[in-house]
Amino acid sequence: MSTLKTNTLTGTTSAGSILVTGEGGSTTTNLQQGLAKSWFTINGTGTAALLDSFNVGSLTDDATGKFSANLTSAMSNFNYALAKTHAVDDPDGSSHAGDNGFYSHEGALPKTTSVASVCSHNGGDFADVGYISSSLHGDLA
Amino acid sequence: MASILRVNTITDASSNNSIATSVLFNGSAKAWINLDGTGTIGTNDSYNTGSITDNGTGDYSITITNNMVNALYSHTHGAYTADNNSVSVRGSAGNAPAAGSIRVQCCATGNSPDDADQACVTIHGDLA
Repeated sequence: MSTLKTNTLTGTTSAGSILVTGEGGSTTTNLQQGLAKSWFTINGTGTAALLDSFNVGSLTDDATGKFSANLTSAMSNFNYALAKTHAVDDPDGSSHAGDNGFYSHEGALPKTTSVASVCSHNGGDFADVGYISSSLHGDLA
Repeated sequence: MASILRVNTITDASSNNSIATSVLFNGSAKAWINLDGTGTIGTNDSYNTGSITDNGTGDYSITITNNMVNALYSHTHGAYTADNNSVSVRGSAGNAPAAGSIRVQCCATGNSPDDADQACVTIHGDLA
């Protein structure tokens, strides 16, 4: 077994491009393009808080069901791929399972420095929900 | 000249934050896309996706350049519309993901099809 100790990996041909070979020994994927540049889980109930995160400096509670996660290291543009989801149960044990559907979506144009999360009932009313999760793939600035 | 580093584990210089290269490979997204679904649809940014097809309002097909090994991959979604119409993205009903493509639907509140200014799909799984 071998272990590489280093703080930074840099491509030789292109500094921002490193290929990683899979277990099959033939297929490769681009390390930089495949890595999530940020992810976070928010408890949106009560005083909104970050439960866990990567590359998020702070959280702003914009309004009921609306949150902004402020990125520590900005993205190069706002064309990143965003994924969002949420749980139906809140951290306090209460459940939204009977609410028949929630949407997690954008409420504002994505920015390079922050991600706006909006959670609403199926009928359109905004709602605070626990465990709102998101991840970003794209290019760092 | 390209160089290949054969190693099982990567750690930082303090021997912390170690990660197996297998985790690095499996944990990396194999494809992602941010597409503009309004008007003539187009790709805003992407990795390992090829052509996109507009099948109708909020209904898009995305080809994967280097195929996945099967259709059992994880696909997650996000979307944005300028009209703040609560758009969301989901897998296309009746159109299961395939190793080389995926079809998704954008819907506004009430499940009505809606073209998204940004429709995003991220794929994790095994490459072919």
